[in-house]
Amino acid sequence: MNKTTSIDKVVAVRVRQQVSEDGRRLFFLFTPGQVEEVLSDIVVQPLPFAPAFLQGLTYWRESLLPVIDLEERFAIKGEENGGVSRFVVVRVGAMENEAGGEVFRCVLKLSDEIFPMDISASGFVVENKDIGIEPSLVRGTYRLNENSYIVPNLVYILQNQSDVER
Amino acid sequence: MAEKSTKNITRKNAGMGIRIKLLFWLLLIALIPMGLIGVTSYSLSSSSLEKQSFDNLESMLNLQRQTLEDYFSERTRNLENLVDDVQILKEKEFAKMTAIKMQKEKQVSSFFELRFRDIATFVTASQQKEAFTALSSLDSFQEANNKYSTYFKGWLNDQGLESLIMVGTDGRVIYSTDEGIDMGSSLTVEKGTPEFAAYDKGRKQVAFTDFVRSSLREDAPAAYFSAPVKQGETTLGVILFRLPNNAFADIMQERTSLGETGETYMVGPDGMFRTDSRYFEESTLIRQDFLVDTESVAEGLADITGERVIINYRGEYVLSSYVPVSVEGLSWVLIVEIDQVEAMTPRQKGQELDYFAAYAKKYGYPDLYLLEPDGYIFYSAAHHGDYRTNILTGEFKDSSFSKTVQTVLENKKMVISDINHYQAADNKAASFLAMPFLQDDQVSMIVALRLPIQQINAIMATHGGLGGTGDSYLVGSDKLWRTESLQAKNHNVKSTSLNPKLKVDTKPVREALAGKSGTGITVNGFGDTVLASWKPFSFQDLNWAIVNEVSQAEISKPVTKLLNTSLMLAAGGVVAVLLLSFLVSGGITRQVGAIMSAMSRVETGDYDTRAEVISNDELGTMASSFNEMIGTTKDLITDRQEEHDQLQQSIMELLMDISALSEGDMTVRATVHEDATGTVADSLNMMLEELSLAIAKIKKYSEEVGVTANTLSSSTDKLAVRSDAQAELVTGAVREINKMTKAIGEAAMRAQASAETSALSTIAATEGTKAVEDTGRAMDAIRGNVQDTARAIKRLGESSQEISDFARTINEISDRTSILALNASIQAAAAGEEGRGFAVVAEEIQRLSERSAGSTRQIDTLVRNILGEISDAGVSMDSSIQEVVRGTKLSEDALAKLNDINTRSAEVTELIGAVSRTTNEQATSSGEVAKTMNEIGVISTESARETRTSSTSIRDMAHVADEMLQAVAIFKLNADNTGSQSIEADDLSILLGEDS
Repeated sequence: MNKTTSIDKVVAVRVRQQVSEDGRRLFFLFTPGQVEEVLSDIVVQPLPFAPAFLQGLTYWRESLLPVIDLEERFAIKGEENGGVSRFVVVRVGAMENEAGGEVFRCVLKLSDEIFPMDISASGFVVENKDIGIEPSLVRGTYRLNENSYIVPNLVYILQNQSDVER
Repeated sequence: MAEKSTKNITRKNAGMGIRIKLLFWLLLIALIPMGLIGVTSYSLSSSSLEKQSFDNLESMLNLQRQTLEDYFSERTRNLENLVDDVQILKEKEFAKMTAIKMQKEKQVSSFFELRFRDIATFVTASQQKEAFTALSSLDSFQEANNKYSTYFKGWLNDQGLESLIMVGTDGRVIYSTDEGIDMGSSLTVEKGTPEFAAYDKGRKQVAFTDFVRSSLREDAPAAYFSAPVKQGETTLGVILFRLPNNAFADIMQERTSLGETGETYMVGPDGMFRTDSRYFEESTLIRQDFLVDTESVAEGLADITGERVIINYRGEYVLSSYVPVSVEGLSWVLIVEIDQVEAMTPRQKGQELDYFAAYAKKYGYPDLYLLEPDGYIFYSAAHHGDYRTNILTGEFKDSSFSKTVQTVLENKKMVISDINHYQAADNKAASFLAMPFLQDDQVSMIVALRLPIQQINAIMATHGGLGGTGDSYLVGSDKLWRTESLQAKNHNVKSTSLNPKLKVDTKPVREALAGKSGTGITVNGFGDTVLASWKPFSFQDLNWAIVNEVSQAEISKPVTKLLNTSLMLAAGGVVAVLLLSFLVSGGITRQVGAIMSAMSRVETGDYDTRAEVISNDELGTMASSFNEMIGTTKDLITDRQEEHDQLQQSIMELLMDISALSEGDMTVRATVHEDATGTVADSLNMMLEELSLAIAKIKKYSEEVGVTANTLSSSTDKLAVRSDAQAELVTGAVREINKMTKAIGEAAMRAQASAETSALSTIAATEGTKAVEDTGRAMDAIRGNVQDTARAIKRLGESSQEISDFARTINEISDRTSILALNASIQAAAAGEEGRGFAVVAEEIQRLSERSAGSTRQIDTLVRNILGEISDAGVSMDSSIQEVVRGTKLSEDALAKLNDINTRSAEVTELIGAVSRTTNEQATSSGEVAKTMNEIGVISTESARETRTSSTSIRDMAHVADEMLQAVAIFKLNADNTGSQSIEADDLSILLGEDS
């Protein structure tokens, strides 16, 4: 996120929990370049002994991708109230692995309120502790108007799955 | 005496009466059949003759009608053949003319071709170039002229050209063999001349310049060939070659197969002759006053080849065949023409008459016409006053022929005219048949025939079988005769045909003109009573009446003769009958008179008289028999008188013998004699014997009856007393039985009332059952309806569910569309500026999917509401069905109970009915018993009364018996006739069988 006066295009996904601890509505924030595809339903193959936020694996464009419930991971999962879930294929970015750095993707289970939007840099940084989220999971949080926006740290989430309490 | 004379007079009158009667009846017998035969014969003959006459008339009429039709049909065919002939002639002529024109056109074309070729050769020859050069120079002109002029002239002569003119490039004439064109003159001074035109054309190539009047030649027509003379590429000059004015005379004047009026000529684009006409001595070449403005020229100049009938430059109807002349630079028309008159009226060699005249003569037509479409008679076989006149506008324009031609022109069809006076034919009666000859649906000629009227007259004059007064004639719609009457002379009339003084306004004519046929007795145009037969005759426009008639007098002649003969025969018969009857009756009456005279004498008692036998027939035999009868009668009278006297004597003796009988002395007896009285005496004696015995018996029995009657009287008195007692007992019994009957009747009425009440209750039960059954059926119907409704609601629910499924599907589609839009917008955002347009599309898709989702949500909500209500309705229906079922069950139970009640009521009713019936029977029986007892009582009472009456009667009988004894006591009888007996009282008791 550039801290300039320019308008950036982002993709905001609202978290199903109505408000954050400070009473604002929460949104996950991604760049358009990050979001590869939004899917309505997929076949998820559960993994035994996997953490709760790791729904399982799914097959997408000849790739096997993990399915991660981001709200579960961030511990901000609200009642679904019968709401529809979306599965967003996101590019995680280069990660270190045995084969070397390469682009990884994962599938995030999110709410169906997904909004491409233009966002200006007039929003200011808010400390992570204000919205009650573990700092290592986010790359940054922002406030704009009455909403709070979270940029998740997907690399950390994917690499540190074993750190989560089951 | 007076009486006798009266009788004599009466007898005489009787003899005369028979004669008259005989005469009358003989006359009657003879005359009646004769009269009947005569009348019948007259009537039958008359009607038969009339019928035969009518048949003859009708047969003749039909024959004449058919002949007329055949006649006109034949004429029509003739005319059609003539028109065909005209067409053939025309085609033949045109074919000939076409051959001629094509040949001549080739000749003209060849002429020009040869000229073009030869001129081209000429001008390109080096000799001509040398000549041209030499003649162009003044120095060498004379030498060149000497050298070449003869050659030029010879060449021109060979080519049939008139002259040549050499013109330099400056337009000056270098050399000329033409006297009209001076050497050294300039052709360019006047540029409207044919010379200049030829020079101008000739500078480029070999050319032809059409005829034009040349001012250089004192306005004489000139036409040129012209060609350039070139030396290499340099044009030295132009040579003009003048065409003679009569260049084509040989070709045009060749008139083989063109007859007397045929000609060939050429016309240029200006409508002026390019050759001379053979009909004018002066030249017609390029003459403004000899313009040829015809359809042939117009079409030929339009490059059309053809043939047609036209009015040519001479104003004549001609057959014209034309062809454009195909030569470069030329626009001429070559025309071959021949007068229509000559073309249409061929004449064979050696024949005096032409084809149509010969035809008319052969078929007996007084005239045959060929007319132009404007009405001009250009051909007539007979050449009467109408020949070469215009029938429509000329002297005879008011004639029927003119009207016929007009009609033909208007209708373009065959027309026949009625018979009328025709002035051109010396005012004779004439009829015309005309037909158009069409070309391209236009009338190009009219062929007309004047029909031979005498043939029509001849047809009508055929009247075989019509007698001397027969007549056959035609009458037109103007009621004037169309033929000559066969009876004209008999009526002092010269001619009847179209005679205005002899209008035939009779019933046959009127009816026939109105299209009706008929026969009958009518009055003809001459006022005679005739038998007539009439028919209408129509042929195309002709409307005539055909009438055949014969005088009624002529028809009736044989019948009248027959009648006269019959009358004469009848008169003769009457006279003969009279004579005969006088003879016959005279003989009869004389004999009858003799017999009557003898009878009258016998009446006076003269039995010695006899009747005179006059005749040898039955009457004579009767007279003889009468005489015998008188003799026999006289003998009988004498014998009878003697017997009468003897009988009288015997009767007196008998009366004396039986006189004592009147005093009651039954012992007297009569003396029996041998005469008639012997039998009477014998019978009297027997009767007296029997009577004595009877009286004795009466005495004896009267005594017995008296004793018995007394005994019976005392017995019957006792019986009467006992009968009275019996009657009283019976009366008491009847009273009791009546009481019983009354009681039983009351019981029967009560039983009847019970039966009625029971029947009513049964009816009520039945009606109740029916009502319950109806209720049950209604309940079933309600259940059925409710079930149907439940099923319908269920189906509605299923349909709603399906709708819900569809809405879900739509929702899914909307959802996917939304996702697609979202993906698209994300990709558009990722694309940056390039993705802006795509972002718009994605946004629009997103909006659409949101709308769709919203609508499906609403649908879903509605469907859920509907399903909820359907569910509630279903529950309600089920509840209703349960209630209905329960109600049905209750009604069924009620029905069963009612049925049971019904059954029981029926049984009770039956029982009560049986009781009622039995009681009624008892009442009836009791009534009968009471009635019987009553009768018994009555009988008993009457028995007692009768018994008393019997007793009285018996006492009276005893009294009568005593009186009888006294009455017969006065008769005196013999001693053995007094037998009597006494009856024992015990026997009587046994007889009576009296009860103690």
